[in-house]
Amino acid sequence: MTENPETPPREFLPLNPRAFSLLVVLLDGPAHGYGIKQAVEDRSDGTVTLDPGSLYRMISRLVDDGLIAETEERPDPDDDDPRRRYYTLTALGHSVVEAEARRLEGVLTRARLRLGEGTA
Amino acid sequence: MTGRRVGWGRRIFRILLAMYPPGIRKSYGPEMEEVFRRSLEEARRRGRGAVPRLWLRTLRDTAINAPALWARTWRRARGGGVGVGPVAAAATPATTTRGRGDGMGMDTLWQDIRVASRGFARRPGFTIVALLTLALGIGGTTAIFSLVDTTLLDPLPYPEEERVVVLYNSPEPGAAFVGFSDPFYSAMAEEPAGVLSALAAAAPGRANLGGDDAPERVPILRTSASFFEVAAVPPLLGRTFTDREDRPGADGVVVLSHALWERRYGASPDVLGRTVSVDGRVRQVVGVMPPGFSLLGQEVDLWVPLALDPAAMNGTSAVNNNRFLVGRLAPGVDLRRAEVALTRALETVRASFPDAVAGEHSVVLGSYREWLVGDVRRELLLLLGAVAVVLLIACANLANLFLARAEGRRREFALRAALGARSGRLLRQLLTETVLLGLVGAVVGLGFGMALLELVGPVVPPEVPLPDGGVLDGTVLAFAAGMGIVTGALFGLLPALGAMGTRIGEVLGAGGRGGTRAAGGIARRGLVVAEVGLAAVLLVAAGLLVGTLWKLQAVDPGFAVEDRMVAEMSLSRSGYPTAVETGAFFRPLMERVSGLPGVADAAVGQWIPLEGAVNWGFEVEGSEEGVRVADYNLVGPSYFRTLGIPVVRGRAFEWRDAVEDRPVVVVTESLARSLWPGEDPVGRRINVNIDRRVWREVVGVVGDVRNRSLGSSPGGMLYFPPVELPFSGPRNMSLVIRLAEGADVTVANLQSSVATLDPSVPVSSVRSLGEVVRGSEARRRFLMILLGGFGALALSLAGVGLYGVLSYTLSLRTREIGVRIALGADRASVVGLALRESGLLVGLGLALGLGGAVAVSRVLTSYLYEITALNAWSYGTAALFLIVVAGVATWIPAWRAAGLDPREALQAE
Repeated sequence: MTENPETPPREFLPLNPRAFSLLVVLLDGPAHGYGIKQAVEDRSDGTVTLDPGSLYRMISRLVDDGLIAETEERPDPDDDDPRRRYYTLTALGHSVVEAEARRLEGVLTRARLRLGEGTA
Repeated sequence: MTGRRVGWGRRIFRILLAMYPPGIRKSYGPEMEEVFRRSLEEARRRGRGAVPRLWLRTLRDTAINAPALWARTWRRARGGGVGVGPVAAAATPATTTRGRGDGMGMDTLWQDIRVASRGFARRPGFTIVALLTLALGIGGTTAIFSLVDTTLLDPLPYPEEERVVVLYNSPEPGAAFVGFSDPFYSAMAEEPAGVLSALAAAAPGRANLGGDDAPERVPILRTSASFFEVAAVPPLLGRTFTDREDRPGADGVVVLSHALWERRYGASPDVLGRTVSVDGRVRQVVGVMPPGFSLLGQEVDLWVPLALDPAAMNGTSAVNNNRFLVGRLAPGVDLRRAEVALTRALETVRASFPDAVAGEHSVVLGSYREWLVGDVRRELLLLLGAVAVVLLIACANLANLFLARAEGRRREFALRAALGARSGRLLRQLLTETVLLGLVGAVVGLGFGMALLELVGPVVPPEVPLPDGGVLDGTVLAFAAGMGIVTGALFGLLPALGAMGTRIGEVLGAGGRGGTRAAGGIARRGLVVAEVGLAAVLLVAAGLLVGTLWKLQAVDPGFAVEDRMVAEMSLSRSGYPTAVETGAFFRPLMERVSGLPGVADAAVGQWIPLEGAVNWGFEVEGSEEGVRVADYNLVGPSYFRTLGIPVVRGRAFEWRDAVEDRPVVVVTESLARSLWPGEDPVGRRINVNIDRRVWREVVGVVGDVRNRSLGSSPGGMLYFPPVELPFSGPRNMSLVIRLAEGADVTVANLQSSVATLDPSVPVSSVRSLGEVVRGSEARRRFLMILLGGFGALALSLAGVGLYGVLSYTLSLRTREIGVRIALGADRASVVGLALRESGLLVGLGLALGLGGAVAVSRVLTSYLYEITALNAWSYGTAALFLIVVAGVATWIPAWRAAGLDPREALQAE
């Protein structure tokens, strides 16, 4: 299994864009399935949709790979529903997001440079 | 309303969830459902098409992710595991070379599924149309099949069900069946040959249940102790009653239904030994039956002993054939032998009462299931046939879709074959595609089926029990899945097989539009002809039933329906022992009710027309004909006026008629005509009490009423004032009210009027007479609504099929049309081209379909009223509908083709 924390973050790159969006949402703290779905869809301005099948196919994969984990930590008890399960980033997940962000930054910088040369 | 619809959505989503691997369902199922539920709520808030879009997305989501998760589960089982990174676009599996053994593995299956679902996702238009077509066909078929399953196939809850029989009394050879009299019952119960191991008599009714709580009116069955031996179902609690308790005076016992025990006694085991009051009589609870127990009658809350009095067996009891008998055959005895032995037992009764018992009474046995299901079997099979026709049309459309797609894929298959793909491998890929489509279609179809059941629920007649879990029953699920696989494989694979046989040279060479296409064209046109024909058959059938209900609506039932309300009430035997006491209750009640605001008139009657009829034996003074039989009713003075039944001669009843010594009767016109043709019936006398001749004088003649059903001709009837007849007293009466125009009356008002006179009398079943009339035609309406629905579905599917074929044929002729337009042809002539083509197909289909309808509609004859199976109006309307839909389906692609720019058209290839 890939739950081994020894797995270097680099092994997971490049990340599936949806997986990346999901992990980015969890940077803000634990969230439940529907919360993740909403945040991902909102932040993509509706260009990404996560229906239950893709959402939980992704969540189950990320849990299996050890990038996220279920957490007992619950946000506001007023706003809570005991049936919900909350997911949080693991240390590995955190470093994978960081690594992917750095990789994307590189990609972006190169693209901008090219575009800048093109228009100049 | 919203909550209910959300509930539906979730149920359908649960079916989709069933497609995911069990591990995923267990860990994430409830959460996925929750996410879906909230998305559905949100979509509903957004409105305007958001909900259908959500469903389409969810279907696609399931079709892609469920197989993917299965594949992951299988890979995991084989010890694999891959990271989150993007899956590189897999090489087309069909062209990968693999070892023989490996090609059969789960891995290949997964690859096939993945390729298939990607293929479907790439062509959403094709996929959605194919899925919807399949789902409509499978959904309708599954819904009707689930009704057939619960009604005709589910085993009845009695041990050795096939030994339970219902006894019919045939008074003359070939006459309509009647029940049995008490002496007949006793004679058969003591029948010496022992062909029955148990025989029971039963009389259904309603009773007031009181004693410890608010009074309640409940359905009861008065029955002999042997009843429970016939059913052979032991009680859940306590015991059933014994033979000794089935006697007058010793019968103070009662057995409760499970439902009543839960509802009224909180399922407490302490209920045994408690006393309750049934119609004012104190009885001890001795037992509780298991849930769902019912024999003779859908719902019974109490069983009490029939307690026949042997001393009361006399001539009058011998002519009143109103007992219902049910028996259990002794082991190894067949129906025929039992009939002979029981008929012989009847002879002793005819010998004992030679004056009273006329005719050659014989016993006919029928299976209990037959009795329970009755004609409904034919109606359900008819509907199953109709929905199978819809499924056939859907399959024809599916085949057409795949034919068109297969031609588009000839190039792909030819290339793959040329590159070395074995045909077995290609075949498996195709099979995976069509079976996958079939299965997803079945799942969506199950959703449709559930929705359909919910939709038709209110019109399903009471004889057809609705399945408890909707369509989610093992047999029905297997049926739907089987249909999905068979239809998908058969109608998807066959066209594709044709395309697979194509050689590479044919496709890549110049002759890209060779013989295969021509053959495909003929097949496709043949399918459209079949679709139009099948749709015509359904439309004619639906038209015939619509016509019948239309005619029935115009039938004059003989009484007024508008602004009439009815309710039921019942007096206890102990509080109202004779007609004197009941009269003293009903008379002031009528005054009170008539005085209520909005009430113009009020009356009591024992029965409401169309809600069951009971007949009564009588003899005519001065006639040699012996005992005759007619339906009867006990009615109060204002009954005829309140129901708008005309008094043609003489007078209606008065209150004093109920108690005075001068017994009277009112007869209907048709009875008067048949008893005293050409004479004045008023003043003639009849006797209804065979043992003690009491002549009743005819004081009035009233108009005929359709008492049994709207479609049957009004038979002769006897009306008595609310008097005490042997075996029948005026205690269970219906209240009939005529409302002032536009007024309404509240149930609370009625109840308080009754309560001021006697608070222990419950008022129940308050409804309009219009509801009663509509309810009497419930089965015809059920057939009409479903056949009409299926007809509409068939019509639209045939329209879609025709549209598809014409668009395709015209697209093949793009170049030709371009040339014609370039040479100066106008739009009209191009449209004419398409019309000729579709006119031929539709004309041929109509000719076949209307011919088929002539043959098939004979099955419907017994459901038709004043309309023949060859009614021109129905055939004409069916043809007109088809021609209009065909016209639209033709005109759209034709107009589009006619608008072609010739330059583009000529460059198209």
